[in-house]
Amino acid sequence: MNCHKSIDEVYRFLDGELGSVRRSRIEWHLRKCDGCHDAYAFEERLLLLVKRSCSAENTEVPPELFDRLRALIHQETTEGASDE
Amino acid sequence: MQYAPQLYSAALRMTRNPADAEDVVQETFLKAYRGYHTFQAGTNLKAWLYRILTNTYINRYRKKTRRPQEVELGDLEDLYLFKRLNESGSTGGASRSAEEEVLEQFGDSDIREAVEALPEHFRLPVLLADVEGFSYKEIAEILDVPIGTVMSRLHRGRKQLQQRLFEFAQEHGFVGPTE
Repeated sequence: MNCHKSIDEVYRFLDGELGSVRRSRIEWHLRKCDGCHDAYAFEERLLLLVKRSCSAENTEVPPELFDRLRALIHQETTEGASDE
Repeated sequence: MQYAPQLYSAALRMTRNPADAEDVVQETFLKAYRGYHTFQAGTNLKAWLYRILTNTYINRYRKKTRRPQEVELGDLEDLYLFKRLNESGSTGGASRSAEEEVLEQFGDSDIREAVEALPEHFRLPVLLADVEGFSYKEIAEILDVPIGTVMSRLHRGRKQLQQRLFEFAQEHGFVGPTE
């Protein structure tokens, strides 16, 4: 594992998309290499910020939408029954 | 109904508009209800629902939404923002987390706006991975593209996001101007 390879895999690592062998190779490299360690920490922090920022908005389901969905399911169920 | 809150918040992020989000969720439920026989038991129900949701959104709004500059800028280098902040050196250098400290200066809405400004083919993978937490394989199913395409769009989308954040940081004096 060298720095170039480690940086190349930063997203796959942080996204949990690497197998355990590759993961541990990178973890080993990060313990020895401050530059890559800082870069990984930075990318991880930024991904968390994106998640937090985009989840921060109030996204509660409006009660009217629940009503619409209930009505829709009811309608589909009764229509389905009358088709038989 | 148990997925309604998740689908609604995802729809809200995609459409950026509560009325549109409600319509997308309603249409998604209708299609899911009618197409439920095509769902294979034991497979990923959440990903299946998101696939319907995403398709509904794309079909309804892709034509209408502003066409992003489709001009593909050359691929940005890896660690774009980290390197720019490191070069600008305006944060003191010695501290291990000097670059990370700059990140703390962004407000939630700054980051949200940078995500929203991404071209659609980058924005959707970024939302699905970074906000909804889907795996590459699930995103490939949701967007109906090969997994390699998901990786490429997601990684390039993230780098483009970093470029926007760097511009924002310069405009707002978080970092010094580049020479």
